[in-house]
Amino acid sequence: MVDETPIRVQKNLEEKGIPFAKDQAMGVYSSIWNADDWATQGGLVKTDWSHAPFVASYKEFQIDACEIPTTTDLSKCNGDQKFWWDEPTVSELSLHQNHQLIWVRANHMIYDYCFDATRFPVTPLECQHHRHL
Amino acid sequence: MTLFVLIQMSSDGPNHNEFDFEFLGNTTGEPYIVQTNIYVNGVGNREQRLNLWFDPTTEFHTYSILWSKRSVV
Repeated sequence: MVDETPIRVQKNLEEKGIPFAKDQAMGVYSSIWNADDWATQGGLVKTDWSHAPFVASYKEFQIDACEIPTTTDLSKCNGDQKFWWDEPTVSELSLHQNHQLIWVRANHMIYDYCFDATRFPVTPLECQHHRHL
Repeated sequence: MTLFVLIQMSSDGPNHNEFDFEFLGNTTGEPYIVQTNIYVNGVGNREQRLNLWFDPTTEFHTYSILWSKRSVV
């Protein structure tokens, strides 16, 4: 999400045989670094160090999750307990959010691996199921 | 400028899962690009890129990843 606007949705489609990230504990990381070997126009535009220093600022960071004692002990979070993020109202887009996502995709999306037939002669399976978005 | 700001959720190891939220730097005057990517069981190559509809360097904005058993938004 960017502000209140959804920009991408990956549904859990495990029942269709598509792997979904859910069985490993996750951490959150944030950083800034030089990526002029690939990031902009495939690395054609090099970093102009005369503009340094480069600063990334964060504020009001929030995290709400089920915290585990160690990365191998997930039992506390994998049980029957329902968390607020398991509610359909949270994990599924509202009609309004669906419209916002369509707006983003129509007006601002510049690349989507799902439509890159050069890279993927066979459309990735999860893309075939996302086509209706 | 070609710099890179990352917000990432990930697990450890070769078969790791990861959700990336990446800000690609640009040439002055061009829109900023946000790239997202998803790794599942160590496999990525699921990039999407979009032009931001505002200048992310002038004000703070909220960037979030909502991860649940049903979806990643």
